[in-house]
Amino acid sequence: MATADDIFDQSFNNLERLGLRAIPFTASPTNQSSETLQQVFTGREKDLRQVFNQFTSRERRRILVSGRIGIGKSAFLLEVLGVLDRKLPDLLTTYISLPNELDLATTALIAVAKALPNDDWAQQQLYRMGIPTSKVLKARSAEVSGSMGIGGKLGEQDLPITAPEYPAISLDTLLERAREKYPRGVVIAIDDLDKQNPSRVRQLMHDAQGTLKGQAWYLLTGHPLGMTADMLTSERGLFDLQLPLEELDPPTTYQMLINYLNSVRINNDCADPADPRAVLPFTPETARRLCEESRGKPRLFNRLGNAVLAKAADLRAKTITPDVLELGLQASARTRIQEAALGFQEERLRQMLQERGSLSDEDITLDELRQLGFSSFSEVMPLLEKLENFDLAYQLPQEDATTFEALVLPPLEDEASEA
Amino acid sequence: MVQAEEQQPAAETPEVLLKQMLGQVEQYGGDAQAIYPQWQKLLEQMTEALLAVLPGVAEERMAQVATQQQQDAMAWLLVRFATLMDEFPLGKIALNKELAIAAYEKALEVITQAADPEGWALIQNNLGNTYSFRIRGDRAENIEQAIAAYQNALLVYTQSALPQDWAMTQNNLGEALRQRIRGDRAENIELAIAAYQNTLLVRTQSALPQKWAMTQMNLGIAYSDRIRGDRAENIELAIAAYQNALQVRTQSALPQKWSMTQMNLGIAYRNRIRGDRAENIELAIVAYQNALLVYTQSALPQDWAMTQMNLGAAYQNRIRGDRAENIELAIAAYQNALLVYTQSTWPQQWAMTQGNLAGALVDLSAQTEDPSKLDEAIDCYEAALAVATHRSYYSINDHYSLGSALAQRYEQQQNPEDLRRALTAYRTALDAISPEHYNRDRYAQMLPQTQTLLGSRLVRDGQWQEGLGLLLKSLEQLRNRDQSSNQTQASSQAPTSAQATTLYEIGRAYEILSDWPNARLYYRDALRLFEDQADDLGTARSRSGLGSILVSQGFFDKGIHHLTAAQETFTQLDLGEEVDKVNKLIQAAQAAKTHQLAQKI
Repeated sequence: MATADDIFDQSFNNLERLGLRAIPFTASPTNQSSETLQQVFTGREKDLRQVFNQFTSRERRRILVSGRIGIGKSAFLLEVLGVLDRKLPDLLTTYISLPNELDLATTALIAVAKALPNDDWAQQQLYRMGIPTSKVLKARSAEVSGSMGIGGKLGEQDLPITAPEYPAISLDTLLERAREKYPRGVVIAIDDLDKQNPSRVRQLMHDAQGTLKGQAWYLLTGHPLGMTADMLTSERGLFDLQLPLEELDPPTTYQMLINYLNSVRINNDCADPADPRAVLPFTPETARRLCEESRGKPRLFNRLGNAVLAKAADLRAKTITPDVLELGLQASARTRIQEAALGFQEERLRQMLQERGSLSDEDITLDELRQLGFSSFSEVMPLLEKLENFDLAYQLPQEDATTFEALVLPPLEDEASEA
Repeated sequence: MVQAEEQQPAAETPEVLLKQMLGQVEQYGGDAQAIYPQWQKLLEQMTEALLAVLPGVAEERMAQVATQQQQDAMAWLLVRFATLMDEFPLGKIALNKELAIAAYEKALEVITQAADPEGWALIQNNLGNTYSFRIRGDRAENIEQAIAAYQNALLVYTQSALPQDWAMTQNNLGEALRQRIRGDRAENIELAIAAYQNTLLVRTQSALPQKWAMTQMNLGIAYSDRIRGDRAENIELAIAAYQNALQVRTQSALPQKWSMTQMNLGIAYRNRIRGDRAENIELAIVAYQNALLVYTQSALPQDWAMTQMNLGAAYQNRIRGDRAENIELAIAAYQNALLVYTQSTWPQQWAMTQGNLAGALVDLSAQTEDPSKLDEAIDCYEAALAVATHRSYYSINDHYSLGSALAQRYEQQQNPEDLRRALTAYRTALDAISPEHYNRDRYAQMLPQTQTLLGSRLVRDGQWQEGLGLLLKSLEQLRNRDQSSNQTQASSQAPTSAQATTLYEIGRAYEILSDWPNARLYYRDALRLFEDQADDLGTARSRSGLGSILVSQGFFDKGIHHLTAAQETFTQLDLGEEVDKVNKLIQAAQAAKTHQLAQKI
């Protein structure tokens, strides 16, 4: 009988058989180091150019990166920050995912304070909000050994974040302090605005107009439907640049696959798309199929790539043949459905979408809506977005209607027939 | 001072006082006319302390007597004391009732069912009466105690053995059942009716005319309140019972009872379903006016005020005669009632009358198109609500009516503040009303409707954030309500009409905010529902909105298609202004389309 250690070794051997050290695909770019991201980030040249052009001016700007869920907004944001870090050392870059229940000023305050570990005042702000930092812990252990006996225990409790009373003023103060060390200024990147309820996002933006027009650069990501158009227009002057990210084209996706594989390949650094070795252990045919299936959506691309490589390793394959690819895609479909944990109505919707191929506010009938247990399409939208979030559906880039298409899933076979 | 001391010999302690009072009962043989003036002199000393010492004093007196006969005599003295105390109209009524109960209960320790069944039954019947009118304690529990006591009495009072006592206790039991709070109300009223009908088996018009008339009146009230059976039939039975009562209770013989019955008869006519409604209201007015012949402001101010209230309500609903004049008469009657029901002396009645007065002023404002009456009405509602018992039926109703009056004023004056206040009033009413109440649906409907109105108004005024928030909130409420009503009703026509309007208003809000994808989505949702309901105007408006969005986005053909369909409907509906608006849009769209084509070439 194999020991756990043996099984561990086998798993790695199986991957090595494919010529890879690890599976490079991850569902979220925040799991990657800045170096890895630099290696695998592909395309978006036009978009990057637009953003960096904003930084040629010393005037602070506000940039909104918008696009559907899974289109690569976070990766784009992190890539921009990585480049700025490397190129402009006198600029402080910060990143934070928007927490629930917090306003934008407090969120920005946390992001900046965390990026200034040696600024006592900044750490004091975090400490007051119950956010432990290494600096604060050190300061507290000093207190314990000194005369103040009460200092030591506070950080151990999982305290809820207490938002500061005047976050906008605290933020301004912090930004002024940061400028002493970073004369070029501070970039505050706030990610995942689209993961909040749209009406809350509207309220947040409405309340944060003063903050956003303040002393820092802002990079925000959001869902285009989450914000009413008047916010996006220059009339309100909230954003200097609104950048809608689109799906990647097939050659870019193919190049992205090469970059991902190269980041973990054992003995091969071929990056020429014309050379079949560049996509090993895929064949050019299965590589193209994978890119097609991912429809230029980076998150789906990562999900599929991950499932296919894992399946290939399981099967101890050396090459990803069309059969292996098919099994991998099926495994991914199963996982996505499982992860989505669809409710009764959501499952009914998924099936209707699967049968009809697409659903649109333009031609759906009241009868069909009633079959789903609704009477309007706007009610179905959150469910469709959930399906999209799990890559079971996707919204077409169509302007005269809101249309969702089923992401065609390969027929699901039983585990038994698979074996 | 000296005179007062002479009149009111001071008792040293509560024990002494109680003994003195018992002595008076003994001395005057239970004669109220002789005893009450004595007690009146002791009013200031009649405190809670009496209640505390009563059991001790009773026991002490019992211990002092040797024979069973003496003990019985002592117990009957307590019963007489209790009966007198129960009916003593002065002092603290709540305390009087407690003293009566305590004395009856002490007496029942001696007079048992086994030793003296008839005596025991008599005390049980009296105890039941005291519990029925007890002020302290939980009212529901008190009525249960009363019912239990009457049922005890009926163990001894049987129809065959003691028919008259049986009939009396049946009548009392009927009253307690009619007022019962616990148990199923419909069932309780059925039991009450059965008890009155039992009573009438013994109390015949010929044998006991006055008691017969009293039970007829009670029976009438029970039929008025009856839940089971056919409501129209029940009201007929109530009217018949009151008319029976009036055969004995004549104006000359029993003027006050005649008036009371006239008033009940008036209420029954006002609620009558059968017959001609206009005629019934006339009969109600006659009955109230009859009641007022005896109920005068100087002699019986409270009854006078109550009848004025009812008369006002009858005039407010009157069909015959000049409408404005009737409303004026209603207002005059309510104002009469307010002469007695002042805020300081009768706050609840005052509030109730203010609410009725406000309703009449709303009607008058609509009738005379005088906006100042609506202002007065709103002031009255607010004054009433300031004192009304929170969550009482009147408070809920007044909040709802206030909401409605404010919404009406908004229609006239277009001040969104009125809508905001209307919304608060509706919300308060809805929060307070019981989920089972038959009015709840009506209230629940007003909340999202007003929210929609206010939301779209705020969006148009530039307060888009708040406005859109309200619209989306009302949509959520309407969806929840429609979903729950779909589960209980076969038809979902009515609720979805409000939903369609709200969807349309959200579409408009997004259009004003230049949020085209959302505007388009909501216009299409509204269109689907309006089409399903064959609502031509709603359909045309939604198409017009949708068309204008599509044209703005550059989808000229699709846009013109919807605009043309809207134009046709607006023309059919003879809405010139709308037709002009849509025509302008179509022309602009066609021009833009031509321009685009030319550029392509």
